[in-house]
Amino acid sequence: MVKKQNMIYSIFKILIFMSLLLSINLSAEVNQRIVDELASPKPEIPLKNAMGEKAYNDAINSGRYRYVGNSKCRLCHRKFFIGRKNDPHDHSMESLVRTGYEKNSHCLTCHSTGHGTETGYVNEEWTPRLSNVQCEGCHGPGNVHIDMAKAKTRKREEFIEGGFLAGQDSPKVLKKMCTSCHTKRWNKSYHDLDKSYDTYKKADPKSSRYK
Amino acid sequence: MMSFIKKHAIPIILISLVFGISYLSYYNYKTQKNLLLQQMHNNSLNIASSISSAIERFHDIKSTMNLQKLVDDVSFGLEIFEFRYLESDGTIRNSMFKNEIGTILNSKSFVETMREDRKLKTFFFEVRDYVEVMSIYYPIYKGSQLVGIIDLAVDISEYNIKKDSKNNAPVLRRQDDILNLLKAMNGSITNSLEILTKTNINDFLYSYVKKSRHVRQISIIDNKQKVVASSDKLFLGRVLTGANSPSLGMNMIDGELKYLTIIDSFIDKDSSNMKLMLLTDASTYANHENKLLTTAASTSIIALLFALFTSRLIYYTAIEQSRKEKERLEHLVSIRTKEIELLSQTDALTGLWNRRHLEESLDIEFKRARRYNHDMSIMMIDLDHFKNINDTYGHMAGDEVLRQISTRIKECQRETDFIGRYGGEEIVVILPETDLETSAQIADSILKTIAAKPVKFESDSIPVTTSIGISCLRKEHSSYPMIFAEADEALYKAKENGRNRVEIFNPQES
Ligand code: HEC
Ligand code: HEC
Ligand code: HEC
Ligand code: HEC
Repeated sequence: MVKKQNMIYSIFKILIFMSLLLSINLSAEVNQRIVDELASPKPEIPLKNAMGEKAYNDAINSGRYRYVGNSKCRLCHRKFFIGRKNDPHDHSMESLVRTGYEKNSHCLTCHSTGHGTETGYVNEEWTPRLSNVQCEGCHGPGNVHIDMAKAKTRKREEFIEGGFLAGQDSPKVLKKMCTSCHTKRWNKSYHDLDKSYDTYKKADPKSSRYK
Repeated sequence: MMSFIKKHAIPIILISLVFGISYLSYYNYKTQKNLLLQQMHNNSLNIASSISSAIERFHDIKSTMNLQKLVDDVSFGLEIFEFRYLESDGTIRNSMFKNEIGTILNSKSFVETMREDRKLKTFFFEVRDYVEVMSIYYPIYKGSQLVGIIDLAVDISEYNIKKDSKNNAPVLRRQDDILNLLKAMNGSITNSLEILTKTNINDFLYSYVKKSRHVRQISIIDNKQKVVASSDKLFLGRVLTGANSPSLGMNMIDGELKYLTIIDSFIDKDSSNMKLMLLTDASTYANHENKLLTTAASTSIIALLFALFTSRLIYYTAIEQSRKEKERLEHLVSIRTKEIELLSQTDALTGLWNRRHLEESLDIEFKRARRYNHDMSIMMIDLDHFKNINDTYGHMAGDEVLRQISTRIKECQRETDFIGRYGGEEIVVILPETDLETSAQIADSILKTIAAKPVKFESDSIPVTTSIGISCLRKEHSSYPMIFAEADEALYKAKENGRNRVEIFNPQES
């Protein structure tokens, strides 16, 4: 019995060791991506990449667009706001904090909202409301949309969409937003972009993904 | 009938033209007027619908209080995570989340506060929608009575200070800011509470009328025709039945034309039997209508004047034409009369044979006398001093003298004698089958008859005498002018020898 117990123990030990090895391996791999990322040139601002340089410059230089933060979206899209608290995008800053890169502009380009533009994320002290990849991280600045929506709140049914640089009326840009962050290096999130994209029509993409 | 129409064709056409044009312009006026009225009515309906939605909004505002704007402004404008205005029992009156308005707030912290496990007006920390927030329930008092509670929360996730928050300077600063904000809100909320309790529907309607350009009065009438609300305070409580009942449409009120509509389907939350009575200013309508009417009238008048003018014109041209025609005719007639006179045988003035006929007869008688070897005499009678008579008594008198002399001569005439006026004051008598002696006797009697009494003309009596020359047919006469010339010569002799005498042509003397 004791022998048997010992055997089981030793098997456990081996298993634990192996899993430890594996985890070490994995963490080594993550680190590798970070190392590679840091070694490669800083990526293009995702919105700029998705829209194309000219359209992006025209829009951003017009001064019309500002990032406002998701607590404002919450006023009208509370379900989305709550749903997205389950989505890794809303916690992307934590990955940087965990690895100690939360002040690295290179990493922030993909892990925060609007970093690199004038009104986007700068740091946790100045722009706490724009940390993580928020609504506007995918849809682009939201002030115009809010103004339009507010102007029409009396007759809400009249207002369908609009005001976004990457909204429903420009799905191509929105889709390209995904791939602007989810590059070859950072491609572990999904196997099928289209399917993954569709889950984001829901307030809580994760719950809909596992259904 | 036809002849009547034919006779009066032009006036009939003109009159029917005037009538036609007048009718058309009147018809046009009527249709335009109806259009205007329709427009007026539609306008009133539009105004009514906007008033009823305004009244609805007024009710809304009264029931929810106009804090929503404040809530929205604060939510969108400031970094505030949650902001609600609650009634003292926890009913959510205003909220940044519109769908929860009217429900009762049942968050854990609020329930605890209501149980007085937690204190009002103190900051605490909790998680709302997965977000770490700092909250406060801030009471609003009216006098000593609690009338409402502000629920306010701010996102403090970035401070990560949950544990020793009291010592965190930024959070304390934030608390000061928030308290200042809440104090300001408290003031404005109590203010608007006061204003709202004071404002009633009549004041609202009054201010609506004041602001509107065309609406003169708004009243709300219930199903018993009683005015329950009105912009005009004097109107309140009146029952609009019988003599009081308003007449729809145009009304002259206070010297101003107004349009009255009553809208049945006036939406009111409490009772669907309410009607909306609307008085709108119709002076623009009246202006338009007046213009239309004057246009119609002036069109008719112009048509009438035109017709009158045309008829006048036609009349004048007709008259002118007929006058000319008459002149032409008169001229023609005078010419014809002369021709006829010439053609006829008697002289118009004296009734004696005229010269032409006389000459013809002379010719005939001369020829006959010659043929049958008969006697024939010619007597030439001339009034003495006829020119004097004309000059003294006038031509009319002269004519009268000639007429009377002629009749006197005719009195002495035998059946076969021809008496003719040869011209002027010369009268010739042809005496067929008469020898010199007899004719001298006749001449004598003529002379005497004429000289016997003066000719009366008007008040004048004109003495007249004549001279007579006689000649008789003889063998050597080959044509009547020869014997005629001899008679003339004898007459000349009679004149020469002192007038008022008879002279017989003597062949030996010449
Ligand atoms: C004042 C209310 C309001 C606010 C604030 C608001 N939205 Fe909207 N949004 C709407 C309304 C209304 C619609 C229409 C669809 C609906 O009814 O859900 C809409 C639609 C959308 C859509 C779909 C249409 C499109 O153009 O792609 C997106 C995405 C969206 N909102 C994102 C946001 C984001 C991101 C924010 C915050 C920056 C935000 N909204 C803030 C009211 C609002
Ligand atoms: C601004 C950059 C950015 C954009 C744009 C972006 N993502 Fe991501 N995405 C991230 C980051 C960063 C993460 C990893 C977050 C973490 O775990 O730190 C992530 C994670 C994910 C995951 C993993 C979720 C899970 O449950 O593990 C999915 C799926 C995903 N993204 C899909 C999309 C799709 C689809 C789009 C386009 C609609 C999109 N992303 C756009 C940055 C982005
Ligand atoms: C081009 C966009 C981009 C840049 C730049 C970027 N990341 Fe990411 N990162 C992603 C995406 C997308 C994911 C999620 C998908 C995945 O894991 O492949 C992710 C996931 C992560 C994760 C969690 C997954 C893991 O492997 O542990 C960490 C940690 C991370 N990134 C750290 C960093 C750091 C540190 C930097 C800066 C040196 C950085 N990233 C730069 C896009 C980016
Ligand atoms: C990872 C990228 C991403 C993020 C982050 C994101 N969205 Fe979207 N969102 C999408 C995509 C993709 C769609 C689908 C667009 C389409 O219909 O083509 C979408 C659609 C929507 C819609 C329209 C849904 C409908 O009814 O069709 C709304 C509303 C919306 N998002 C709001 C938000 C709000 C609010 C947030 C922040 C709380 C947010 N989104 C964050 C990617 C994102």
